[in-house]
Amino acid sequence: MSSATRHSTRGVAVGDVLIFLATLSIAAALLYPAWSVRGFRASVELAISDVETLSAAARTVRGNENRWPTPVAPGESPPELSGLGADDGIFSRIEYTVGWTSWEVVDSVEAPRSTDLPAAGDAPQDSDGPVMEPVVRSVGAVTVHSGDEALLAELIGHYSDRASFVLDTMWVLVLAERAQPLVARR
Amino acid sequence: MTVDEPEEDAGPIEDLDADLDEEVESADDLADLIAQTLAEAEAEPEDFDVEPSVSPLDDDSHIEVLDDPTEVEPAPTTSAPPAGPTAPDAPAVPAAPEAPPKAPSTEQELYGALDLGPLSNPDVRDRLLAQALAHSEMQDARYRVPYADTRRVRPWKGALAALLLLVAAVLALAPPGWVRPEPPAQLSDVGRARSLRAALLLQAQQVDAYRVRFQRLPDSLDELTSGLPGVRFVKSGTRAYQLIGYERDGNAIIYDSSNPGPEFARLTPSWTPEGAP
Repeated sequence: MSSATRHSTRGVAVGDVLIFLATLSIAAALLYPAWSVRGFRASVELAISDVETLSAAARTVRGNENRWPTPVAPGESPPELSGLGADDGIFSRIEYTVGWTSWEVVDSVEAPRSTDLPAAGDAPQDSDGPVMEPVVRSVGAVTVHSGDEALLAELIGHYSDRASFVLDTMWVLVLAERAQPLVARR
Repeated sequence: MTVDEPEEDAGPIEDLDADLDEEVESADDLADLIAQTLAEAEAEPEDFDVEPSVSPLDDDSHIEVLDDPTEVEPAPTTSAPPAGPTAPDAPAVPAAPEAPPKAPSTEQELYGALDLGPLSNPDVRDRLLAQALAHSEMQDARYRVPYADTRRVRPWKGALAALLLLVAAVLALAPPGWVRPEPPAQLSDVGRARSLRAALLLQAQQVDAYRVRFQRLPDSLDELTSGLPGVRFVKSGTRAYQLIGYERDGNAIIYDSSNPGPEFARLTPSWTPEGAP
């Protein structure tokens, strides 16, 4: 093969290879950003799905038994929700840990009026204004523990219309339900 | 190398080989024979009919290999047209009708034994050389044509590759908005403060629930069934208390049960039941 022939062959090959590599570079530059956050987005979607699953199961228990499931440590399944505690269940995630807990809140409700109280002269009666009394009730809460702050921030943003907050590495979603008073009225 | 001994009967070459085999019994004998033959060749160079190691494409000075005056002189090598051994103007001795069929010429025997074939003919060699040169020129011409086209295409390909690489670099270093995916959410300082206030408010609800149950304040948060990490509890009297949380920068956010701030008031309905007054 003459030198001219070698030169020609090498020139065509180098040009084609350069164009091929440049095209690959563009494809990589276009796809890498979306590919790099693909795993994170999958984790967020999975966490949201787990939260919804646990919330629905807890509300089912709350509706059937008029109480929330028993609070347990993070990563453990409440006895009432043993079906969610499978090896590949929501309590066995690697990227985060799902937990269940319950809290007590105090509401002020109007006390029932007493109809047999005697009148006290010209003094105004107590029935002139409503009498409020505190009532304690329980609320459930789903927690997600993760060292990935972005995951917790994503959960905050997703449940922005719900009662949720982040404290350290824990995200808490309070399940507000109309509940029966746990403490008898005074 | 085969040495031809001029003999009248011109026996077959196999007889010569057989004689050599009888004379040569070892490597030393062969060396002695070769040395003797070379000495004789130097003494009587006209005894050798064939010049050894003649390349078919060597110069024409090696063509003169025959001493037999009966042979036809070869045509001039510079101007003679390519002609094979069967050319009509170059009568071949082996095909001559007067040659005895049982006694071929020495030349024919030699060329047959050396397997030089028609290359020994200068005309054939000239023709083959001309053909080889023509073939080489044709090949060069064939390869030269696409080389000229490639020379025109290469700058265009190089420019295109450079442009594509530039676009790739721009996309990688400063990707436009339609390339960047939605970035992961980040907690702002305001969001962190709001989360801390919500946590303090929820913790305060536990303290209030304890007070409703037991008509007193707890001595510490450990007495509560649920507690949040990083929250301090301070009693101020029998009915008032403060919950203190700290932001990342060390700033304290305080929840005072006697006078919660307006920031907490905005968070109060967070966990009220849906539809509750």
